[in-house]
Amino acid sequence: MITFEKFTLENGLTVLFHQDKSTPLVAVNTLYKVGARDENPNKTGFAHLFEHLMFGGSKHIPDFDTPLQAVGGENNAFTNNDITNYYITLPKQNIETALWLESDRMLELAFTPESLEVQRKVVIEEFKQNYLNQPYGDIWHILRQMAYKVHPYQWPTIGKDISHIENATMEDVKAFFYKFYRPNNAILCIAGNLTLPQVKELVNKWYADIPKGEPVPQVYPQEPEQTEPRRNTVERDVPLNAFYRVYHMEGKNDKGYQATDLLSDILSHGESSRLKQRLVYEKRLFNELSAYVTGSFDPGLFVISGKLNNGVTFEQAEQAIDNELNDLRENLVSNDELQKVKNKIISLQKFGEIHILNKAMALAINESLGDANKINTEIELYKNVTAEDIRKQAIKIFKPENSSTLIYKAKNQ
Amino acid sequence: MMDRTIAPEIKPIDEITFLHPEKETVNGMHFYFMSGLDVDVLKIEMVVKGGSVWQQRVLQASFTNKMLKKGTISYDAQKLALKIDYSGSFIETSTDKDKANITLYTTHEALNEMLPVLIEMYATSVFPPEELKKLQAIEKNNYLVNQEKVAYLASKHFQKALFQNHPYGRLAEEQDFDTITVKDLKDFYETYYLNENINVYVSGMITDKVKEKILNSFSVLELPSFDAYPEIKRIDKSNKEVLKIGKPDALQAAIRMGKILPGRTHEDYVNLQFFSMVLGGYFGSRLMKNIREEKGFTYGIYSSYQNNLFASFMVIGTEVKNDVLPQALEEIYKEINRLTAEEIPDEELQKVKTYILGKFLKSCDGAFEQMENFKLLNENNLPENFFQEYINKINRITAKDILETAGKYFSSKEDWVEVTVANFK
Repeated sequence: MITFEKFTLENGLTVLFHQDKSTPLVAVNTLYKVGARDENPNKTGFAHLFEHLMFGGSKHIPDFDTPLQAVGGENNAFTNNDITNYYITLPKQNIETALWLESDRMLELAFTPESLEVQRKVVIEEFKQNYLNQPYGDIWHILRQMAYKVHPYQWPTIGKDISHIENATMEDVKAFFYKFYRPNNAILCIAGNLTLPQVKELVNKWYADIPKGEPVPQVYPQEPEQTEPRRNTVERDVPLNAFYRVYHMEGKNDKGYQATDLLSDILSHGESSRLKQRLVYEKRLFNELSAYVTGSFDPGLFVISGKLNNGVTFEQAEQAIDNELNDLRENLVSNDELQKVKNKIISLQKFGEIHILNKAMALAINESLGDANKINTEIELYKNVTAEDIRKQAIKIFKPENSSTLIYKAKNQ
Repeated sequence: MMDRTIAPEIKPIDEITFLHPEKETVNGMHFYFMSGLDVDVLKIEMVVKGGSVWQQRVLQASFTNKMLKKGTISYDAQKLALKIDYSGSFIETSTDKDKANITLYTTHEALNEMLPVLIEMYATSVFPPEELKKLQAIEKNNYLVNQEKVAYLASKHFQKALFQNHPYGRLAEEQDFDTITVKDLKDFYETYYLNENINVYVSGMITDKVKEKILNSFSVLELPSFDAYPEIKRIDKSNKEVLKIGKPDALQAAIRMGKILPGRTHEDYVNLQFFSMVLGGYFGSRLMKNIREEKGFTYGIYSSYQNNLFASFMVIGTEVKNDVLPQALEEIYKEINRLTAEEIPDEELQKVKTYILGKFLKSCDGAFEQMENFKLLNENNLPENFFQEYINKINRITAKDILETAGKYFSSKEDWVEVTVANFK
C-alpha cells in the first residue's frame, strides 16, 4: 500500500505527495501529459526532441544540470507515446533547488537557438545509435506503420524520419511549450521524508505564480477496427531471420487489459513460460522468442517477436506460433498456470514499493491515467482474472484479421 | 515577487552512514545480513570465486554459471523454471571477470520453498548434455548479433589490446561456442564452485526467523576447503596500441580508449577517480559538455575507472557520427590534455565534490544498496572504513592534486590504447 496526498493549485497543477520517513533523499517527479501521440504527423519526434531542450536553460537559469549537480542531485527524463516525464533525486535538505529548477522551466524556457541546433544533432545521433545503426533497430518504425493507419501511435517516439527532426523550427518549439508545458497539463509528485504542510508551502512558493494555459483536450483519432490480416517482408543485413507479429489490444484503462497482460505472461514471462519451453527449448525453432504488451494509454499492441534458428523456415516458425495461440483460444489455462503469472505480478509489485523514485513515478503515471490510487487497486484487477477471462481475451485478440505480421529476412540466408 | 535568478541556499550533505552487516559462519561459509526494509522482500546473493579469470578455456566460467539453471539432481531445467516462477521469485545468475553470482529475489512467503531450490542449484547442478547444446546454439547466435554492433566490437578489441595475454584479455570467438564441453563445465564447477569459499549476502526485511531459516538451510552443505587457485599476476601497465577496425555500412563510429591504472588501495586512487569523474563521469562532465552539448557529435560519451582483482583501468567510450570521428578523437585528447595543463576552476571542483557525495548518499539508500557497498569491500579485501576514508579524501581534494595526478598518468601516451570501429571509406 502506497499512501499519498493530493492537492491542486489554482493554476491547475496537480500535486501528489508520498511520505517515506526511511530515506535521506527526496524524489521530485514532474509528468507532462504530452507524448508522441500529440505530434503533428509531419513533425514527428518532436515531443522527444523537446525533452532534450528542457535541459538547455530556462528563463532565469542558464543551465539546468549544473546547479542540481552542485547540491548532490541527479536527474533524467523519458518520453514515450503518451507522456513526458522528468525526475530528480537529491538530498532532502536541498529540495528547494529541485523545485526552483523545475518550476522555472515550467514558467518559461530560454528558447536559445544554440540549444535547438545542438540538441537536434544529439537526437539525430540518438536516432542512429538506437534505431538505424543497430541490428533489427528499425522494426518499430515498420510495425507501427503496419498496425496503425489513423492513430498517432503509427510512429515511434524518436520520430518517423530524421528529416522531421532536421526541420524543427523555433516557432514549433515555442508553440509546443505554451500548449503542453503549462501547469494545468502537468503532475508534480514529491516523495520523501517531508510533511504535507511543508510540501504545500514549498510548492505554492515556487509554482503558484506560473500562468495557467488553455485546457489540452486529450482526443486522438481512434484506430478503426482492422478487418484483414496485414503482412510485410523486408530484407536486412542481420545474422538471423526474425519474425514479428502484432495484434491490437486494450489500452491501459480499458476493461480486459490486465487479462491480456497475463495472457502475454503465460506465453513468455519467465523461463517456464510456454513460448520459451516449447518453441525455444523443446522444438528449438527460435533463438529467442517473447510476447509482451506495449502498455499504452490508448489501445495498444500485443507483440510477439522472435529470432529464428538457422535452418528453420518462416512457415515452420509461424505455424508453431499459431498453434500456441490457437491452444489459448481453444483451451482454458490451468489454475496453477494462472496462479503462477499472478504470483509474479504480486511480488513485482512488492519490489516496486522499495524506492522513492519508483513510487513517485508510478503515482504520477497512474494519476495521468486518471487516478493515482490505481497504484494500489490495480493488483486486485489482476488477482480477479479467471481462466475464462484469459480465453476470452485470446479469442478476441488472436484473430488473423486483427494481426500484422512482419517477416524480417537476413540477407545472407 | 521572489527573484528566480537567485538559487536557493546550498545545504551541505549530512554525514553518510555506512552500515555493517551482521556476520555468521556456517561450515566455513560466510553469511552477511543487512536488514532495513519495510516491505517483506529478500535478496539472497551467493558469490562464488568463479569468474572468467580462473578459467582454463574461454566461456568455461560463464557457461558453468548459466547451466546452473539447466538441471539439478532433483529438477530438470523445465521443472526448475516452473518451481521458481510459480513462487513469484526470480533467480539471476551472472559472471564477471573475477566472480560468479547466483541471486535469489523472493518474499518472506516464498522463502521456505525457494531456499532448497537455491541450494540445489548451487550445489547439485548436473549439466545435462542436451541442455548444453541448446545453450551453445543460443549463445552463438547472440554473439553473431553482437558482432554487428560497433559498440560491442570496439569494447571487445579494446579489452584484448589492453589486457593482452593476461586471462582478462582472452575473449570468445565464434568457434569457441562449438567446442565447449560438459567436461569443461564440470571441471570448473567442481573446482571453483564446490568449496567453502562462498559468501552469502542477505538483504531486505530480515527477522530472526528469516535469518535462522537461511542458516539452517545452508547448514546441510559441507564443502571442502580450497586454496589452490592458479597464480595470477596483476597487470601494471598497458602497451601503446592504435587499432582501426573497419565496419562497412556503419552509420556511427565507436571509440574505446584508455589505459591501465593502479587500483583501489593505491594512494592516487581517489584523485584518479575524481579525474575520471571530471572528464566523463557524469552528465555535466567535460566530455559530455564538449562532444555532446556543444558539438552534437554524439548521444553520449563517458569515462569510467574500473577496478578488478587483477587490473584497474580507465576507459572512455562513445559512438559518434561517422564523418566526425577524427574531430571527436581530437576533442577527447584536447580535454585530457587540458586537465594535465590547467587547474580545475574552484566552482567545478566544488560541484563535482558535492555530486560525488550525493551519489554516495543515494548508493546508501536502503538495505539492498548498503549491502552492495559492503559486498564491494568484502570481495575486494578492502578495509571496513574504506568508503569513509574515500569521502574524507574527496572533501580534502584540491585542484592542484588533480592537476598533479593528471600530469603523472595522462601526459604521456606511450601506454595508451585507442580502438575505433568505423566505416573507414
